[in-house]
Parts: sequence; structure tokens; C-alpha cells
Amino acid sequence: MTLPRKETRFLLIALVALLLLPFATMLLGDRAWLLSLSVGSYCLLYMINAQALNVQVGMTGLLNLGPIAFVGLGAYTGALMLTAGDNALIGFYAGFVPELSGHLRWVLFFLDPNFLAYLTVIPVAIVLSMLLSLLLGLPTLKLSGDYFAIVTLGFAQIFYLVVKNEAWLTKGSAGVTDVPALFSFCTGPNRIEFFSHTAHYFFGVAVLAVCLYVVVRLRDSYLGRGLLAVRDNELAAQSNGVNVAKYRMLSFMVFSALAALGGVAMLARAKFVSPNDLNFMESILFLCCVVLGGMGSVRGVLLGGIALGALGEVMRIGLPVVSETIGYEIPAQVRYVLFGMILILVMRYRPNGILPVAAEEHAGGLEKLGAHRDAEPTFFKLGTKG
Amino acid sequence: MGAVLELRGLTKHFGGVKAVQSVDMKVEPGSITALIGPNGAGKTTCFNMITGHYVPTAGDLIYRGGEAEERLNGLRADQIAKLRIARTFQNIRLCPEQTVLDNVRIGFHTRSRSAPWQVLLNTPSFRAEEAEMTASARAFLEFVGLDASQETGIEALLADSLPYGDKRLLEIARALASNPSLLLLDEPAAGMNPQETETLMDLIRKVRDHGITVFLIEHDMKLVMEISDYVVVLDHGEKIAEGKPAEVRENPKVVAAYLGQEESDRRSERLTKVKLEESGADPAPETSASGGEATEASPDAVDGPTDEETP
Repeated sequence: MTLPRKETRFLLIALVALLLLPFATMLLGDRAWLLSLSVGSYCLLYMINAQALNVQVGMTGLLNLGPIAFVGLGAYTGALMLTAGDNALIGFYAGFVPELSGHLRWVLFFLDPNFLAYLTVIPVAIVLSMLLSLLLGLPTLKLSGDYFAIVTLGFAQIFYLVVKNEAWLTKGSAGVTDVPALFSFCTGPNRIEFFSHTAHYFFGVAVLAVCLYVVVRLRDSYLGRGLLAVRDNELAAQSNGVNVAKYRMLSFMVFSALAALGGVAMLARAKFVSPNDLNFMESILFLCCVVLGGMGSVRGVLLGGIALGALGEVMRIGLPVVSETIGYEIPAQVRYVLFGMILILVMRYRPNGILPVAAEEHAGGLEKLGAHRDAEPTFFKLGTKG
Repeated sequence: MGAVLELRGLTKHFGGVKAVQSVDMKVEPGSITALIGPNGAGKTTCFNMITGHYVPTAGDLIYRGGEAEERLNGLRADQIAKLRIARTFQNIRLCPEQTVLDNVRIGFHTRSRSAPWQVLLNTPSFRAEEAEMTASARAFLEFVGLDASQETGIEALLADSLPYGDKRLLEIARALASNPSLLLLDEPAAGMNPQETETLMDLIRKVRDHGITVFLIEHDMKLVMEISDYVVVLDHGEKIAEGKPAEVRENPKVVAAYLGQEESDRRSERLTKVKLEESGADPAPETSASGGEATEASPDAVDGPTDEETP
């Protein structure tokens, strides 16, 4: 696809805005600052996971009803590796790198043993998640649309039950607690210190940036065009040399890799993971972000993630306050009712999402490549794969 | 070098339905070969077997358009596409939600040589390939007669918004973008007005002149008779005739298949009469120049659908 310029600008502005948010809200006082970080980092998780899901559901047209299983796998892999043997991994790195103090440890943050441990965990989580998607995908990706969706739904439930019951590995329903923070100096005295409170947030922004980069690069290549062709017309895709099974697997694996990354970001934020985080509703909310934003639209899904993430977290924090004020207990599940209503309204008035792909392309225009008028059809220039 | 494509005893049964029954034929390199026949004769089924969408019940498909002789049976559609066989569909199959330009670029799929890591790192070689492809895609749009200039901006339109005839041209552009050695066109002129059909005929000739063998299914007899080098006729899944367009047109079996048996008899009668008159003999009261296996025509036999075929 050739839209980019305008889209790239949009994405860069969004990332810079996210980076500047903690600095801006700092001016509003401690309470507002903490609230903005809480909402912001929650939105980031939705943006990351929705972007991952967008590859599979939005671009390839494969409905996945259990994305939370792959996010959870990433989070659990991280949590178990980091806490194993009394934080042995961090101890291992601590033996290598010199202990830094003062401002130097912020400047050389990448030498922090906790951070190095997190960086070690990421590739493992990604590989495990991709392996799992491969195992699940091999026998099931040939199923036509709806059946595959049911398989993923069932898989997420199985994953949830295994995590909840296999306590020897996963600590059962209590979850993995006391996961080390992203940086060793984040665990200091409990006072409001800029870096300890924002580290996981900036980590989230970095992960989102990686996700966006991967998704955009993928989409603007023959690989992405293959995925889109599989979504739009399977027969045409085949006749143009796209191996449908392979491309479905590709989308599943890219999704699972990015979702695992999202899982590690989730862990860095909460420093805790339990089976409750693997709730089916989370899968549905990720899916809502994609549908709400516009299937396959990178910008739209980003907006969808912000919208649903912010709404969810604001209501989680705001509902008890409202309940207290009016003297009547509003159940927390009300937010799901609200999500449902929003989704219905969007489907009614903007059936293709907030920012559908088609609108993007017309608004964005096409990048101009010079000298196309002189170009000859290259019948034999590019050659073919043997 | 032999025929680009050879069908040997190609057969396809769907349960008890014999869609294609032991068809032998050849498509010579650099030719325009037409496959014709009444509706339901098994033409598209043949195409679907050639492009790997159906698996033949029996018979062989031999293809010599690539480096080596290949047997197409058992290959998947995408593997066959990689052997430089491209096709269009009877019911246009574009990606309606994508732009015109992107639809053409899908056609380059088999020609992309960048590895996934090059895509991910956006290497200069990948970018160069993309730029070359985009330029070439525009050139293909112009080649088929869809003006790709920036002023009209057709390339940025959604494929779905194109008029019917242009969609067919776009599908041909996409097929050509894969640099095919053999191009299969399934009813390219369907739904086109006579003017558009003329343009299409020029385009098909132009494609052939670029060294691409064209194998097409078509109902428009004017198109078939004017541009084909060789015509094969199917009826009820069986090959009933083949040859140069002029020979096929006069073949009584073909006339029978197209116009019904009665009309065929009448025509052969007239023909015999003329011949006998020429030789000075009395016309025989009963003639049977038509196909041997033809059944007795019922009194309410179908009338000829068109006048095209009557001399």
C-alpha cells in the first residue's frame, strides 16, 4: 500500500504525544499525574494487543476469539522466568554489571540487571508464543473462518484452566506475585519519584513503537499484500501465487509474537499476573478495539485502543467514586454494558470503524513515484522465482 | 518445443456428473487458443483443473512454459501460479476493498524476491524492488488501457468502484503483472459492449505479441472467430471438434451443439442440396451429414439463439 506519508506522520505524532504525556500531566499535581500514568499505561496495553490482533483479524480476516491466551503466555513466561530461583536471573546479571548510583543509573538504564533480565525474557516469551501458535495453527488453520474462531475460543479457555490448576508451575489462582520491577531502583522507598513511576509506561510506549513498526512494514510489502489478498479473495490470492495456508500461519505467528510482547509489557506494569488477567472479556475487548477502530487500519486500531483502554480504566477508577457520591453501589460490570452500547452505536453509524482503511487511502493520497510514465511493463525484467 | 499446455484424457467427475470427459488438446506456444461450447460444457472446469483449483479425476496436464516440462496434476493453485500460469475469472475476482494499484501489485507476488528480514528492516534493495513494482504496476494499468495518470487518479480508486468492463481489464492487468508464460482468460468479454470488446480484442492480440500464449473461454463468437488461431469445442464435457476458426464454424457437430439438432439438419440439408445441385444430381430426400451420435430432434427443439452462425 502506498498511503504512508500521512499515516507515518500520524503514528509518529501519536508516539511523541504518548512520550510527552507524563511530562505534561506532571504540571497538574501528583494525583492527576498518577491517574494519567495509570490510564495511559492501561491504554498502551490495549493499543499493543489490538495492533497485534489487527494483523490476524483485520488484515488476514481470521477471527481469533482467544488473543488473551497469547498475551497471558507472554506475561506468565516473563513472571515465572523473573521470579524463578529467587530472582536468579536478575542475580545473574547483577554479578556482571557494576552497581550504579545517582543519575548515572538513569542514563545507563540499559545496564540495570532487572532491565537486562526483562530483555532476556522477551525473546523467550516471543518464541514460546510463536511455537504455541504454530502448534495450534497447524491442525486448525485449514478450518474455514468460524470454526477457527471457535478453536481459538476453546484454546483460551483451556489455557485459563491449565494456568489456574497447574499450581506447581503457575502458582495457581493466587497468581505470580512479587515480580521484580523493570528497574532495580524502582523498588525503592514508596515515594513519588518520576522514573520509578514512569519506567513501565515508557517501556509500553517502546513496545507499541515496535509493534507499529512491524505491522506497517509487514503491510507495505508483498507479505502484507498476500495477507490482504487472503482476506479479500482467497481464490484470487491463490491464483496469484499466495500460499493461503502459509500466509494464515504467518499472520497467526506475527500476532502471537506481538501479543507475547504485549504480555511482557502488561507484566512490567502490574508486576503481578494471575488467572484473572486471562479473562475472556479481555479477548473480546481487544477484538472490540480492532472492530471499533476499523479492521486492518493501523491508525484506526490505535484510536480504538486508546478509546476502549481509557474508558475501561477511567470507569474502573471513577465508578467507586461515583457510587460513593450518589450513595448507591454501581456494579463494576456496568462498564461492559457501556462497551456494548458504544460498539452498537459505532456499528450503526460507522460500520467500517472510526477510521476505516478506505477513508485513509483517499485522505492520504498516494505517494508519487517519478517517471512512471516512461516505465514499460516489465514482462521479463524482474524475472520470476524458479 | 512442444505445446505449452497439453491436456491428455483430462476427466473430472463430480459424483455422478461427468463435467469433463477425457479431453485431449494442445495449446501451441505464442498462439491464441479458444475453448468454446454451450453453457455447462465443462470449459471453466477445465480451467479450474489447469490452475489447480480442482483436482482432475483422471488424465494428465502437461505444461512446458517453464524451464522444464511439468505435470500440473496435484499441484496447488499457488504452485501453479509460480510456474507462470496466470488466469482471470468468469466472475471477476478482485480485492474490492483495495485500490486499483494494489490489486495490480498483488499480481507481482510470485516475483517478489525480498526475504522477510529485508522487509522488516526496509533495506534499500527491498525499497528499490517496491518502487520498481509500483512503476511497473502503473505501466500495466496503462498497458490494458486503464489510464494510470495522476490527473484521473484511477489507481487510487477502490477496485469496487470501477465500472464492470474496467474491472475485467484490471483483472487482466493483475494477471499480466505476474509475467505469465500462459494466460488463461475466462470469458473476458462477458458483459462488455461491442466497443469494449473491440478494445479487448486489440489488447489480447497485444498480449500475444509480447510472447504470452493466450488460452481463453469465450461466448462472443465474433471475438473467438476473429482473434483465435485455434478453437476447441466442448459439449457435455467432451471435445466435439477442434481446428481453425473457419473449420470449426462449419463443423456440423458444433452447429448442432450450439443451434440445436433441427437447425443443424436444416443447414446440412441446404448444404447438401447446394452441393448436389452443383454436381447436377437430384437432391436426396434424406441426408445425414450431421454427427452420428446425434439424437432425433424433438419437434419443439430449441431455436438458434443468435444469427451469428447462420451464413
